[in-house]
Amino acid sequence: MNPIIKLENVNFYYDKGKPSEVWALKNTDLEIYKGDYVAFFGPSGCGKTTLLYLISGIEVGKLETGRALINGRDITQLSKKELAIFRQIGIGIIFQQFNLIPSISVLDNVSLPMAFLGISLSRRTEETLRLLERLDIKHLANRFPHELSGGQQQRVGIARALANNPPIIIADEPLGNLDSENANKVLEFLKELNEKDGRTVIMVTHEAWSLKDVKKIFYMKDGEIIQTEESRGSQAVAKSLSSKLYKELFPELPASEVMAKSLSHLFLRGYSVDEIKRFEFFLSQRFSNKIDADIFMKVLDRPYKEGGVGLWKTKALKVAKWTEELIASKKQIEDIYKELEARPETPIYEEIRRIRDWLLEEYKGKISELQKIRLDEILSERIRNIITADNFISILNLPKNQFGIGLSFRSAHRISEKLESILEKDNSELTPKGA
Amino acid sequence: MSISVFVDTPTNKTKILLVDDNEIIRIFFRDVFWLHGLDDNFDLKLASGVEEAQKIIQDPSTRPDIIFLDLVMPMKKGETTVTSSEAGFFLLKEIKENPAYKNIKVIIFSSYSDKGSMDQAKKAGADMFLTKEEHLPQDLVRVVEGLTKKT
Repeated sequence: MNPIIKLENVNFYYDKGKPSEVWALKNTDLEIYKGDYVAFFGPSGCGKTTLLYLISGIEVGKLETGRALINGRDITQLSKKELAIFRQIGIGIIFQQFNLIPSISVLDNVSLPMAFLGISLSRRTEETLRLLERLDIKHLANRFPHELSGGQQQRVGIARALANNPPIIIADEPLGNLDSENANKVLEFLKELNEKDGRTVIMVTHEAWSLKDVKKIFYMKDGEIIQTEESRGSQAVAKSLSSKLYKELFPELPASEVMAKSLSHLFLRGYSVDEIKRFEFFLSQRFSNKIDADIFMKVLDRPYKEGGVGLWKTKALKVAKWTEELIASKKQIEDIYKELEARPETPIYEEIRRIRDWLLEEYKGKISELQKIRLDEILSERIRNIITADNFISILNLPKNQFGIGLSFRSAHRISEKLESILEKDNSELTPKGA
Repeated sequence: MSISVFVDTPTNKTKILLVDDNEIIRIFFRDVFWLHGLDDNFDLKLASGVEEAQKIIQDPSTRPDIIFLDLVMPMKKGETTVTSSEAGFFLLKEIKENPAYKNIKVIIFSSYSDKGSMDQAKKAGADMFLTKEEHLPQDLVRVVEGLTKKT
């Protein structure tokens, strides 16, 4: 049997040739068969979204090398018109943000893809009502998106993805904004589409929890598929995954890097993400002695546009001096934190609370004051690298009577992944503002 | 109506020809065959006009078993080119009146859905009349798959 999707030696760059160049997909080979239910799994920035775009025929003309075959036909060779029709009838995408059009009814949202094909109003309406009934939301046909709950909106999004009966369904972080009950419903439906309808389903996710029904997992990191695993069809997959691959996907960083990261956020509160990242880079260079104190000071002072960090002279001096003190006294991160706590300009507890509130932004459940205090403690321990990412998750997940935080397995993972993303290298999207 | 399927072609696939001057419809048709795996059982050819279709039909090695035929298309009339349903009806009659083509089934695939056109097509020997705007990809798949099941 020929694969329904086959990527051969795909290399893909963003901003090729510019300083901001990113090698988003590296020598990627991939085969997905008709009737598969697969997931692309990995941290943000791993290339999974790029891969999804490619299969959907978006940005497919910009491949550096390689072919993207759907049922044996290379879609990198299609004309714009051909790609437009391929996207209408070949692929149905379920988005994290639902992407419904707010000014038109549920009925019109779902029937829009059919209207693009020139289908008559009566046939469109008939098909739309059939789909809405299948998703148990027929009674909402004449409502507008803003009148619906998140779970209902996502079901409208699913109905729309199915409108032109595409053989391939792509779910892009489909559970992102849903509570666990609605998230479960979406997973049930994806499973049904795969098992009953025989559709090929591809899920893109960074949540281990949502992998429970998938048959095959592609683990991705830094633009590469680092491992492929056939699932054994039990929930154990998600759990075994987290212990086994979590470390690889979210590795423990060397102490000096963790230090550079934490300090960058503290020193440069109020600066932009780019400035913080650049500062962090030079700080870790200085910590590892790749640049000397003089160069470090100059870089801090130099305007951002000229490749520096762009601090004011006085601040540059202060930060440079303090960095040198740190290096001279060979302080450990624990000592630095104690010292930071004592300094009025870096109120460490305030930082921890801000990070905690940011981590809990999307958490829908209730959190008691006691849980918050406990969370602040382990957060501070994690940032100081006293506990590992695994320890952090376990404590989040542990029941309250065992001195844990008592969060669900899924919430614990989600919060940990969010935290690790700012402790990670490419933290541009997820850094809390001003943190 | 009965539609028989011929399996004695070199590829063992049922040969289908779509005749339509609209490029979007041709791409749509080809994509439905491609994406829904109909290519495995059918050999689809596309013609953008009457003359191109005639060449494919005349050649015994490419002669289709089934034709999906648009009605309104441009056709040369002396020195000028006229775009009307005359083109589709002309080709339909030409096929149905030629004994060499008696096994070719013709399905009208048109934007027209008025009774007059349907009656005219039936009278001229059309085997089926489908309205474009009533056919989602899944409907087309159902129709085409139905063509094999009637063997």
